[in-house]
Amino acid sequence: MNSTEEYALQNGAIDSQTVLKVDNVTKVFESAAGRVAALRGIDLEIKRGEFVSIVGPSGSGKSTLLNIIGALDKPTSGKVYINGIDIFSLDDSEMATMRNHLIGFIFQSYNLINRTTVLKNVALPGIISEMGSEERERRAMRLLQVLGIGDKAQYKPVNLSGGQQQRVAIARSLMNDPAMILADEPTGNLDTKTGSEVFGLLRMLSSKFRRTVVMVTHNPELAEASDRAVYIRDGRVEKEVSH
Amino acid sequence: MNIKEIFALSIDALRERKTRSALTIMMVVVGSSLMVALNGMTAGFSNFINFQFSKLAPNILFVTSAQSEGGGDPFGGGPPPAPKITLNEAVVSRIRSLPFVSDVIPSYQAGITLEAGGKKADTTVFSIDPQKLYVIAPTIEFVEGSSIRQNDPSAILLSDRVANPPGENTPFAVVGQTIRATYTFVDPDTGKQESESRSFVVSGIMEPTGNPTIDSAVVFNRITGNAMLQKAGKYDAILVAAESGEFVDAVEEEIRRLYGNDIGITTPEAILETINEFIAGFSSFTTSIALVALLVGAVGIITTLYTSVTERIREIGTMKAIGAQNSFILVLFLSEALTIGIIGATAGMGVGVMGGYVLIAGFASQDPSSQNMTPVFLPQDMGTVWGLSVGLSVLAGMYPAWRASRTPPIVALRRE
Repeated sequence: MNSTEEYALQNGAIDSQTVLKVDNVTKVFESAAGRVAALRGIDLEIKRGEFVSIVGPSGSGKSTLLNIIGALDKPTSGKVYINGIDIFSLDDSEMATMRNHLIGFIFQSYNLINRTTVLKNVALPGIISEMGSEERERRAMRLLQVLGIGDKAQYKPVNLSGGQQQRVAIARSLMNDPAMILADEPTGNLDTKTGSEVFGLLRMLSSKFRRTVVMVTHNPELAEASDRAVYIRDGRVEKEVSH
Repeated sequence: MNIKEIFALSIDALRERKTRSALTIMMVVVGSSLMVALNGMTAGFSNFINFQFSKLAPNILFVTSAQSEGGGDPFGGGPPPAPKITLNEAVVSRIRSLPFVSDVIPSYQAGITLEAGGKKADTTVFSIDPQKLYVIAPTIEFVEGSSIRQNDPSAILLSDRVANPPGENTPFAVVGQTIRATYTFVDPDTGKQESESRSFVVSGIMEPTGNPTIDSAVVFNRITGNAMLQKAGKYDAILVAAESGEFVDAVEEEIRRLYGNDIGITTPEAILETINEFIAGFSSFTTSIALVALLVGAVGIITTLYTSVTERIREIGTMKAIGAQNSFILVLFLSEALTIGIIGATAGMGVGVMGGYVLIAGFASQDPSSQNMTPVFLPQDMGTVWGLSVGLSVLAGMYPAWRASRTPPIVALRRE
């Protein structure tokens, strides 16, 4: 039994193949210009091992939805369940633990710590979860090797190419064996060829390693290559297309 | 919480901003070293004074006449203050008859000008029976060739400072040399300025004793002093030797009973107490200056960490996104403050010790009699300064660390 399952079991949440359930989520931003509704009642369900793209134009609310799914931001109303846990019923500390154990984040601009080594960047979620140092290093190294950058372990991220940096970010997202990987425009900063390679890796995580991947993109080609594409416009699910 | 790893991350962060970190550490070094150096200097100064006074006879009371108040003119006019009683042979006899008194040494004192080999020197004459120097300063020593000629009216003893003036390559006078002393005074009858000159032979040179009265003076026979200094048997001071140090208070009480407040009594212990009070006050003053320097260092830490939090806000957001608790972020930044504090305070100890020696050397160069003075660094004092520096550093890191830990992840990630 892996750590994700243990965590979910402790919370009585393993009851189906549903990893994520978004239930009528709304998000309204208050600003000087007035109230802006970014999400207007989103419902979504994602199964274990599924590769789902969230697609939409700028300002459609897709990144806001991803932030809410990842418990980085709170919805104005509605609920989000990950492995059956109502994540917004948790306090800040429990939510941090949940993010650490159940979610792996991949950002458009990689968000790596450039002053430290690639290996330590990958190991960071393990440091936070207090994984033993030996296991942590072994696991981080193994992930780097699987992603084809094992020889870059002692490099500083800043000395790597964009594609390599995104691989480091992918390795980091997998460190604590999460239930779900959330990727926000993971190929947005990469050229077409490198972007395809990174996308291929995410695809492999889903197909080969049965990882659930939720990817925000505005690239229709990538969306078509995923298991399912959820199209969002004006804060609503416009359509869902399974491939 | 994995403290070891958090510390490693903190040290990486400090290394990344080497110049800023070094400057912040330097601010802590300045504060803590200043505290150590000034504490070491004042403790050394206090030690030196105590040592010097330990060389003085602890049983001596210095008796003078109290001064009557002036004419009551607030602008300083009217008659000058006059002694309340005349210290003469009758007073000497009365004090000698008191219990626990082993000796009474009357003295004349005045400012005179010495001339030797074309050089002139202003000094103070301490006119007593030269043999009594051993009562006043039991550890007194003389340079080779010196002799104490008790009844020789032309013999003069010079202190080392008069014989070998500081900063001069050649001595003012040597043993056996004839020198001329001139005393200038105002004749009470005519009101005119007069002077009285006499020749003396240097019979001896006194090594420093620690007694400031002796160490900056010349000594000659009391009979000569009475005649040359126009004293007419009126002593300037009477040194009273109690049977031992423990009877000093009793003798003081007896003298006080006889003369009340018409007389001034000073003991080495009282002088030492006064000096030590002054040193303690001076120490508080210097410590407060050093504390201000340390506080400036603390403000430096606040500024550095606050800037660091602002610059690393996305990193904070990323860490939170991957599951870092608020406490993890708090400890991460506090450990940076702690690292700055530990490095700064530890370096400050070393720099402070060196600084203490430099300060004392600077002081000694102004006053050669304090050349044997060394700073004193007590482990508990250094420990306190170290703890204070580290504690203040951590305290200074509190606000930036708290701010970093409380920033919501989405706010941190969105900020550019």
